[in-house]
Amino acid sequence: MKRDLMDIICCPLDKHDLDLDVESEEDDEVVAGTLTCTDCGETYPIEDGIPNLLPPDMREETPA
Amino acid sequence: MTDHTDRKRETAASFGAAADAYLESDVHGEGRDLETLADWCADATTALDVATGAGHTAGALADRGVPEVVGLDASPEMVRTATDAFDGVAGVVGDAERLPVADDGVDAVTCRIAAHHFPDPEAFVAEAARVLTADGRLVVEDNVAPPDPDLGAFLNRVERLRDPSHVESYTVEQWREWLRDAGFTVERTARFKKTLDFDAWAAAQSLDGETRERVETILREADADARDLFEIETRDGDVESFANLKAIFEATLSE
Repeated sequence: MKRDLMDIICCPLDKHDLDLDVESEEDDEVVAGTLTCTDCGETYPIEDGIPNLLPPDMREETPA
Repeated sequence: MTDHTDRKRETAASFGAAADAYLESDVHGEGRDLETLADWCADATTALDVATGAGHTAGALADRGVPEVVGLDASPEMVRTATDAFDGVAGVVGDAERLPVADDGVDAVTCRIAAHHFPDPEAFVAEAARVLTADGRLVVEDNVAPPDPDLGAFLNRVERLRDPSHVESYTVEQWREWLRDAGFTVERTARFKKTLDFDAWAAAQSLDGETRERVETILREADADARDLFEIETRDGDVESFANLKAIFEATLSE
């Protein structure tokens, strides 16, 4: 993802801003990292350049 | 809520498995409806395509020169397919009913032939109103049910049997009511029929022999009203084609 996507995206739960923590970046694209809600603290992964902003109850690793 | 969430997870998983088939699908990739939808959003600066699937709508918006296009889907595989296939499309994995998008964050929201999978389409419409700027527009296309409740029930029975992730196709009037309730003004409504080849339509969901036979039997044995409305064509006892009803709505938040 490009950093300017941060202007649009937010926490899906409470709609607050997210903090970006970059683990790796290539050609202006954040490839891996974490997005953390500035209010509730929920974290969302950036995997292979794509932020996964599904609410925690819809993420694959979370048991139904 | 839990039932909804489980349902959405299952839907996302089934679409992930079908990602390549959707990219090749004529129903989703071609047609004047896609042109219409892109035309109505061509002057947007930042567009969000909800339930982007293989990204056809997001790609069409980028082609029309919308500077910033975000394709969102609950299936990570679908988002990957969309961003790989279309230049100028940024991908986000997310839930249509709990959008990870800031208030007033975009000036166009699109959603094409997907809302019949949503457990709570009204929540999606409210979220679209929230994320749109005051001068923004929502353009939704979906399969719709006819006003006659019996014919609507027939349609939804066929669709659910073919595709368990089908929740419901709603009437045009139901859509307009949801849009108005969320503060939108419905500016335009385009209605049309799309003729579907039965074999291709069944294959899109990888129907096995028994389910396929049940769906075909329901269509073959439909009463005269259903046969007429859905233009069910048979030859030598096989269903050749039928038509489904679609509508595109353009809604704005302006007074």
